[in-house]
Amino acid sequence: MRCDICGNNRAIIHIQQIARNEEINMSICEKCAKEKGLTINNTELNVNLKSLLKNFAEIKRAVTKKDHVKVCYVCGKTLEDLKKTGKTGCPECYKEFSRYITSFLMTNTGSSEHKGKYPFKINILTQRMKKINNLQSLLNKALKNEEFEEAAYLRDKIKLMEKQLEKDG
Amino acid sequence: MVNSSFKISKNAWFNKEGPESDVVISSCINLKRNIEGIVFPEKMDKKDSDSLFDEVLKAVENMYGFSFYHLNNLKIIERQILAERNYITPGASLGGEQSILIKDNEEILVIFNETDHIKIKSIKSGFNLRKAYNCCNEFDNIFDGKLKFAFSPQFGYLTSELSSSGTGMNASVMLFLPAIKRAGKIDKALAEITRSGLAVKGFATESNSCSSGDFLGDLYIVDNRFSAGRSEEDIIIQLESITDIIMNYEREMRNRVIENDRINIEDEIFRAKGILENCRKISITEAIRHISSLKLGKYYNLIDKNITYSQLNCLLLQIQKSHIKSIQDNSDEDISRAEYIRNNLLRNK
Repeated sequence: MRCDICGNNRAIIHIQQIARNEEINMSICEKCAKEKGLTINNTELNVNLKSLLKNFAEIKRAVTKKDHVKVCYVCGKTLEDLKKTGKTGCPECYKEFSRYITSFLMTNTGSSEHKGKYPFKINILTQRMKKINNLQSLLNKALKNEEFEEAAYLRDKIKLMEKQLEKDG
Repeated sequence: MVNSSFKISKNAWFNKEGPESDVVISSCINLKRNIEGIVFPEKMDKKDSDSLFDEVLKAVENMYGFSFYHLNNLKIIERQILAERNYITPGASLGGEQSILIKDNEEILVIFNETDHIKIKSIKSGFNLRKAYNCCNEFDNIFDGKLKFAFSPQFGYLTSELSSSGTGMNASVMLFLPAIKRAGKIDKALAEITRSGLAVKGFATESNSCSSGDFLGDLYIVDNRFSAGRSEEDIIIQLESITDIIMNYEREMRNRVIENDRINIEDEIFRAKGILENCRKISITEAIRHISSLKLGKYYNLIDKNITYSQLNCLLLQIQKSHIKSIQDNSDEDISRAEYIRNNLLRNK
């Protein structure tokens, strides 16, 4: 996980604040922690509660200020940078910036859908998922027509397949 | 598994005669893949690059008939040879923890940790995209069994560049288009290629920068700019059909220019032959220009029948700076180059 403040380094300190049912999570790297007044000894965090509380507000401000800039939480890539260079930083960027990437691919290739090869394992899984969806629609049809015997058979079959799918990951 | 002594094949893809090699010099396929859960090379720190390397070792173990090198362990000249053969990107070979897996006949190679975690590359002589793709695909299947690729059903294979996401495939052909150029139609032809959604760039060596439409040796590289939104098959079909059109156009133009301007074309070819067979010192730019003229001469049957297209294509590759230096470490590169070309062309006589 990357630092919430600079977005560059690996976060080593994780702070969670719970107040009035509201939960705030922050992850900070060593460099930013030092800058914000959290001192770190070689191996352990020097827990000075007073200074921690004092600096907490400032850290929170730094993190929330960063919020309006869209950043990938894994690699720290910003949307702005992606737009400028066309380069992502990690696989997770595709989820984080999926709206921009979809529109980018739409404008440049006329389609944002993958039409090529699938990795072997995913291919099998998607095929099985499709099969389950098909059975599901058959089941709905059977229920509508009040063919309960058929429906029960289909329901059991779907359950079995879903279980198998879960097991294979 | 890691090889330390560098050996480079003398009998690689470029020595083989490929189909349509009067116009198409080579066909190349790149497949880019990344491993799930590891950030892309641009954002990597030491820990990420170590865990990538563990995965890489897992993937390349028990592979026979291959050499595996760390680029950092190679000498500068060895890295430059790889770059001149277009196996690695020049500049990218410096720094970072890159490694390369090369099949002994250089038919297929895999570059790790360049812009993406894995780049499977296959180059074939002549117009042979399908064979190159089959080679890459076979390898992709092997890795698929050993590694978990970053993939999403919506975006396909996830790569560091948006333009290569989807299939992760970049297909390209290197074309030799001297007659379209001489007929003054090159700008129009290149614009036509670009309009069809493909990209064209010139082949130029390090020391040369060329303006558009006027590339060194009349060599052009055409590739698919985007790899998303279509299947591998469709990308190859498109590139094949465009290449077919250009190829026929180039041949038509070759027949036309020799009809219209026989004396000047013949003069250029025989001059090129004279210079290459007799010179004692030659720069890379001049050499490429004359070898290109010889290739045109081969098409018109004006030069020695024993000289083949593949020999000339091979020469284009081997007269580059580091190749020449690796053969003959003479202080003057131009003298060594002239000697190399002379020996190569006269060996058939």
